[in-house]
Amino acid sequence: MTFPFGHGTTTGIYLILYVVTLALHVVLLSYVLVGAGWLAVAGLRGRDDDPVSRTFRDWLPFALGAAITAGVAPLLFVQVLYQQRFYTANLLLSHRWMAVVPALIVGFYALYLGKTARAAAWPARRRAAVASLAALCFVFVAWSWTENHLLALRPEVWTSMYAAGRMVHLEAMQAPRLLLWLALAAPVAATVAGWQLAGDAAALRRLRVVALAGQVGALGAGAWLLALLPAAWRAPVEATEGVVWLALVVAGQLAATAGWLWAPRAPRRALALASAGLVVAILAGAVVRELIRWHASSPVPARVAAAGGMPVFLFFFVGNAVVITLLIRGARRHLTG
Amino acid sequence: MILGSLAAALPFYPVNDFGPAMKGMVIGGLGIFHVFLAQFAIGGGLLLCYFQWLGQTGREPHARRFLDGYFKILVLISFVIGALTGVGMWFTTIQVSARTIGVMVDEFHWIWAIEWTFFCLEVAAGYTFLRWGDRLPDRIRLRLLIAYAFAAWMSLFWINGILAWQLTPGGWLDGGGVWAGFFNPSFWPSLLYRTVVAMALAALAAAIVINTMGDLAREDKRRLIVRAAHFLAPMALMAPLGLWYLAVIPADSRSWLLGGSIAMTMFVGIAAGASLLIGGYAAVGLLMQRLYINGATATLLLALAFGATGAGEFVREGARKPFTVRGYLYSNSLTPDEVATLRRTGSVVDDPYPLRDAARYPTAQLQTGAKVYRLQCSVCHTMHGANALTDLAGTWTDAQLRMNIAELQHTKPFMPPFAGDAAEVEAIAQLIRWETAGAPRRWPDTTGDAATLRQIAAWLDEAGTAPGGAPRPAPAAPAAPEAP
Repeated sequence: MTFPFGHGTTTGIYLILYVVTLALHVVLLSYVLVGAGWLAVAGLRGRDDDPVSRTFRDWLPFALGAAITAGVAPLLFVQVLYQQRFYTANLLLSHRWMAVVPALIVGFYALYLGKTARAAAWPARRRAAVASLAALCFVFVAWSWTENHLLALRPEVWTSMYAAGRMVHLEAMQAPRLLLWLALAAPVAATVAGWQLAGDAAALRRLRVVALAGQVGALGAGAWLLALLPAAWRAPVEATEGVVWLALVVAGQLAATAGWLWAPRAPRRALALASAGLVVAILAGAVVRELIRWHASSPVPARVAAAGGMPVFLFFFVGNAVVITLLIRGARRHLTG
Repeated sequence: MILGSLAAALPFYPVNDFGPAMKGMVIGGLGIFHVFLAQFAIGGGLLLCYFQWLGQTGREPHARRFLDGYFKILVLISFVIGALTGVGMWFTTIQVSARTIGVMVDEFHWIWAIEWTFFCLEVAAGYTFLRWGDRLPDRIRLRLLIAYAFAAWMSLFWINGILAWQLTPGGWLDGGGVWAGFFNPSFWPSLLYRTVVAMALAALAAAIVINTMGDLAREDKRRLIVRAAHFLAPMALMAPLGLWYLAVIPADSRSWLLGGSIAMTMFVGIAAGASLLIGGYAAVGLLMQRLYINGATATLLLALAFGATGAGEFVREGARKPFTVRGYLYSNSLTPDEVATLRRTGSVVDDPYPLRDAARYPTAQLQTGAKVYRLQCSVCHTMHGANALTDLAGTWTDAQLRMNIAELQHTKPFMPPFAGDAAEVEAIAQLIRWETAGAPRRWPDTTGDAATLRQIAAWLDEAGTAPGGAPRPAPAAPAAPEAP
């Protein structure tokens, strides 16, 4: 079977939409996770008034709003593709799973609070506490999604977990998986922030440390995760198509790493290279992640695939993207004269 | 292998217990809160366009100051809590009725995807305005606000079609597809009614915000409030829109609202009464006499509007009974076809999820009853908390229990037909009896009582599997007397 059309064209279209919208969500959530973490650490060190901190503080509320909005689409398509798995994992995790919503609300307001004029007058450590609270909330949400994803892939534990009334699913793969996500978030966030601060050499140097540390962490966590994959999950990854996608991940990561190493000499070109590499790595990584679940699942039922509305969606998808571009461009053109 | 098999007609999901709170209270609580905030955001967008226009045309000197303050509140409330309670609604619906939201996603995922593109437009326009609005000329400010308001209203347009479809699926039931279901009979009255509500909420919230603008003179505040109150004027349309809505919903649903179910009728009364009070105050005090309204009064009016929203949502949800998708899926997530099948096979024999408290039940029959309760009853009832079975049926005699459950859709026509065999009726009857008796450690097992099971089977046959509003099966013709 070849991804994504091995289960038929319609299932393939849903998979493509899922992967692409997930990738967009990943870029934004990476910025939020790393930005909040950066502010927490910088605040604890009493040095949170640098350009990188100011940029993160300024943009994080918007980034979280955009991340949540972008996350609605993959949340929708995952229900189309893997309905019973996803719902069962939700139900088994129960109240623990539902806690992601208040956690996000708390995190959201903490970001807004950190941006207020009042917070600017506080001691750095108090601001660090607020940023730490936000970062903890987001890490909790990341952990919950990792847990949910793994549980959805484990139908063999569903009945025993339900019978025991447990609302937590722990397994060995969870730690490397979560670490992999967190580590990969670092170069992504650094690259986005790099574009925001492309003219600031000192800021780029600091971001480079974050990006490269993230790449090293991702390498370690990825290797750890691969070592723990059960044979049935490893098979699709080690098959030819899996290896091709994995190679794309590696190529993208190498390009991103090269870009960051090169950043001090030609920032914009280096950031372009890093961005291109990360786009490839995120998309290919999302496919590798999906291969395991996809091989264990059935095609989208014909009744569901026949549901009407796709042409109208495509019309509004393109139309609203154009409107958004025009609105932002119109505003920026006026601001920049 | 997934439990219950993805290909199976009836997927089994783990069922969670919410203690004394019935599941409808859980989703209703969050749902009302979310709807209130979402409608505030929609009306707020329209109101901001109006005030931007007032400001840039010189009609209202303080319009821009109010607008910028109001917008920040709108962002802080609707972009954060509004957006996240929207996600929360999805998660909560999965918790309460995974199959219902599954059916909705299966049928309307492209509609939801379209709605998502408008979320993106709303967020992009809103944040662009928030970030740069104070440095932009009026022309671009208005453009951004119109885009924001249009996107917010379009999100209502799309979700309204899905929600209205649940009560009035229209041509969808006859195979008409997504658009026949989307533009269903209650689509337009519901959309227009919600738009009026959204405008009213925005106006009342504006009155509160204007009162917090401490450096404005009272006369300036009064003038702004009267301007905002223009958004209350469409409330005059609520009565005809409500009547239109009543006219297009199914006759049995209408009968619940108009006296058939006194609880529902009371909620209709609360929604109508609260709306009338707000509308009357707006018409006389704000629009005719152009009075000042202080912050406390505005807050009280907004609280009344919250009550009206809550009552209205309760009515909308309740009117669907016994369905969650009219004619297609019952409240307990079983389809009419499945009910007919489960009458023969039993409903819980294939349920892979064990009871968490199996040891609590002294007999296997009571365990079966607990599983039947979990599958068929627990979405709307608890055993000892809200809408408790022991309160509703604990005083019935054995025969009453058996007959009323076997003929459930005729006992109360807003209940679905019982979806199981005679042994399961007896099991749930014994469970209710046992729970009412205080869950004693010993309890007789009546599984082998053939005469009782035969009688229950006869009641089940008599009731049929059609919903309660449908005509009952004709009684069997009496046997012809033998010829002498």
